[in-house]
Amino acid sequence: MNSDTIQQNPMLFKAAVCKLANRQGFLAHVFSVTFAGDVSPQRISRELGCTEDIALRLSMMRAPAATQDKFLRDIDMIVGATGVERTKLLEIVRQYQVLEAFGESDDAMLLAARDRLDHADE
Amino acid sequence: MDLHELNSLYSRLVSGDPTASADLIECLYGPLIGHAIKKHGKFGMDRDRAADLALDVLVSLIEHPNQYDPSKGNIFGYLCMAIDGDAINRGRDLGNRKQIFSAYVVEVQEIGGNTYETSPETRIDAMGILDKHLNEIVSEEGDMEVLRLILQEEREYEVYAAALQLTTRSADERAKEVKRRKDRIEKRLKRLKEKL
Repeated sequence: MNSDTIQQNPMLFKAAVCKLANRQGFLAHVFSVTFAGDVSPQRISRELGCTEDIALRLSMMRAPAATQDKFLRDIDMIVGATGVERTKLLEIVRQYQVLEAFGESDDAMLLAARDRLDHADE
Repeated sequence: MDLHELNSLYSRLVSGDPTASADLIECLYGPLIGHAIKKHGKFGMDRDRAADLALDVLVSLIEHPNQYDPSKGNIFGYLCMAIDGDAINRGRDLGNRKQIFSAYVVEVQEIGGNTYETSPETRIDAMGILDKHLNEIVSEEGDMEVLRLILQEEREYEVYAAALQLTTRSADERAKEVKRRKDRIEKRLKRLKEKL
């Protein structure tokens, strides 16, 4: 079976990553939320200090599992396969988790806004 | 990538390896797009739609790897069948009856045994005939897809099975149901031909 690799046809996989950005469960979605919709290989490679080919490959990987026992295992596997910095990847995934948690609750956002106003009044 | 490597990739997927999805997409995305265009291009499948379908079936496998049964064939074949089924269903949803009618124009000629060039008037007649008598050929969900495949001269029963969404049944049950549905449509086509 002849298939183009990411290196041979990055445009093909760039398009795939854009589609995966809307699918929860993929790192493309994590990056889309964290980088305000920018899932370009340039942005991801800059944020994670990797090549653009690695950025594309990374985006097509599954997001780390939510359960504690599998989360770190998944992070290690992703780091092992791509060579990206562990701390940077962890930071981005944590950021995503916070943004998703806020995104699910409108009340959380309102509460945060009210707290800031209260401090301003004092 | 050979079959052995594909099987190994599948095992990684099942075991929950988060990196396996990237390898699977890299390996199969392009070939699946190629399959979709080659098989369904004459029915209006363009590259964008092919890419959507290819990614849909890959994501479905990645999210639900246990849906694929390795004992029933290789992964690439399984994904191609899934694409074929989706393509036919989407074609039905997008209302490609016109394409089925166009295919039927050829059938009418062959049934008649005529070899003359089809005039535009005859084409219109054939479409009119099918439009008028379609309810004599299709009566339940899936019949339109079976009719289309018969007119495409599709021989693989697994493609019919995918179109009829029989993939969860055993191979014997799939073959039996496909035969039953095909025989019924072909009988109706023959009856229509005799009537006309």
